[in-house]
Amino acid sequence: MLRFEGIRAGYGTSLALQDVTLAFGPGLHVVLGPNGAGKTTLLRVGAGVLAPRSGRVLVGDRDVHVVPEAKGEVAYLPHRHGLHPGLTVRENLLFWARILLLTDPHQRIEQALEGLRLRQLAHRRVGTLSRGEAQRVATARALMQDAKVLLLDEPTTGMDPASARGLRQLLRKLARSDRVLVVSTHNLYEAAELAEDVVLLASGRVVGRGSVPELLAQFGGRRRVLVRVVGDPRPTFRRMGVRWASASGRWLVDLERDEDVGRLVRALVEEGLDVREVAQVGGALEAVYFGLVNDG
Amino acid sequence: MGDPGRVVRLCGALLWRAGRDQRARLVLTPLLLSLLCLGIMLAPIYLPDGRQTTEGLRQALGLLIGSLPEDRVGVAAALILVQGPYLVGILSAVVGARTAEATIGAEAVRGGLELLLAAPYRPAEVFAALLGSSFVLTALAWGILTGVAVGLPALWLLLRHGVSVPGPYLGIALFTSLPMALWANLIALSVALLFPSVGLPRVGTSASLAQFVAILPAMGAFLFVTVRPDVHPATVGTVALVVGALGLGVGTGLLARWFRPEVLLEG
Repeated sequence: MLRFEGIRAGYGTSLALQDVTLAFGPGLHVVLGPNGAGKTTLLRVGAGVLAPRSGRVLVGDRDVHVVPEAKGEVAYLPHRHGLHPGLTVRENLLFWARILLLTDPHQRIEQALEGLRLRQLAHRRVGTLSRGEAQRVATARALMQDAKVLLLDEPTTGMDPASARGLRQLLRKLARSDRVLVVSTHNLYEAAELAEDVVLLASGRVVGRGSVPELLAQFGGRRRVLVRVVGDPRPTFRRMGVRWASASGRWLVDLERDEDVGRLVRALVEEGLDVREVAQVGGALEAVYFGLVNDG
Repeated sequence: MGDPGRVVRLCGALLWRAGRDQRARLVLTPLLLSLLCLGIMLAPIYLPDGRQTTEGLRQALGLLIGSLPEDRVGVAAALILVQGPYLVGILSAVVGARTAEATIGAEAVRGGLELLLAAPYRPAEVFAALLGSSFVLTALAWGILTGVAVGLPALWLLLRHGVSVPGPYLGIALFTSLPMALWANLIALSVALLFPSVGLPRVGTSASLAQFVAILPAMGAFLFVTVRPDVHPATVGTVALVVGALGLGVGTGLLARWFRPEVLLEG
């Protein structure tokens, strides 16, 4: 169990997290939010990297900012992988095995190499790897720790689609083994695919939490549609009281309910506009996300 | 401060990685620099006007050991034992600054320090291990430099030509450049840990303020013994050693006081 209790944290004079209280049990949790929402700061505080200005982070009953050994139960994959480019993949893993005081380091390394399909790259210098390959090595480094809690900050960044899918499958498998996995992302599709539990962050605060169906039930209903028309639809949008944005000659419109789509099309046609295309943008989670983040 | 045992283990891991990464460079760079240093010191005695330019230094060493051979051996002894420690100081300072830049500075830039802070150590232990490993690497380079450029030539002068200097002065000549090297290392570390977004530009390619401050003590002492041969070398060496050690101690204390892990995470 990982618990954040009344966390306020930030850098210099700015506050990136404001009174955040969260508890994560075994399973896969996704922290979702736009850039600057506080996702990375939340994971840094959870990993014991950044001390909060107030509040505490408990792994079991130990505060990671008070008892350094508690950090050994948290594996952290930061956004920047932090690997040494001059060392080989295996040497990097061996270095971190020493730092983390792991028992049976060589066995752990072999398992991590196998799990992330890195055996063929084991003797390559990290500096010669692609961004995606290096990210897989960084993930192997985090998994090698065999920790109860895994905090992963946008782990699929830079990965090719096949590797990203492989990692997501691995994360789901790990989540079934009684571990706490917290994954941050701003990728809505990834969040929807992974999510058992979604935490929505905006401006350093938790603005929503639950499974996708729960969030839909609680905040859902909003839809974002893309509209392409010949003519100026803005007077119609204003009259209907909807929010819109222009996007490359097309229009993105936020609607409250499903039935508003029909109302919108009828109104546009009645105004004499030639409607060429109406399409829903994103899925249900995206609708919740935009609704909460904009309101947040 | 935390647990010294954990600091030593962390420091050991960092040194292990530096050894794996830099391998022969750890020894070759200071070895080549020490040969360069020897070349610089010995060149004047083979140049037509060399005797004139080194006469002052002969005079300075004469203050210390009474009489010197009148031949080239005397000039070499003066260069090695009076000017040598400070030339070694300058080169050690350059190596010290480079060491910090190549290890801790690069680590901060690529995000490795964030991972170290996530490891099961207190921030103070991480700081102490970073400082310790950087100091050990700098001291290793200094040891090679001073051993090859001052220690071995001093032994050669004694065994081959009977030029003997008082033991305390030999100690000063050997060790006075260590605080200079560590000072430069500390300045580069301070830039890396307190202002990670700035970074220390490579030595020799930029006249940054940090580089200037890093090699200032060694350069100042070198210039002083060169232009003021009338001052007793033991006095210069003692002052340089004591001031260097004090500066190093105060600087280390201030860095420990001002170090904030969150600075490494900004941006």
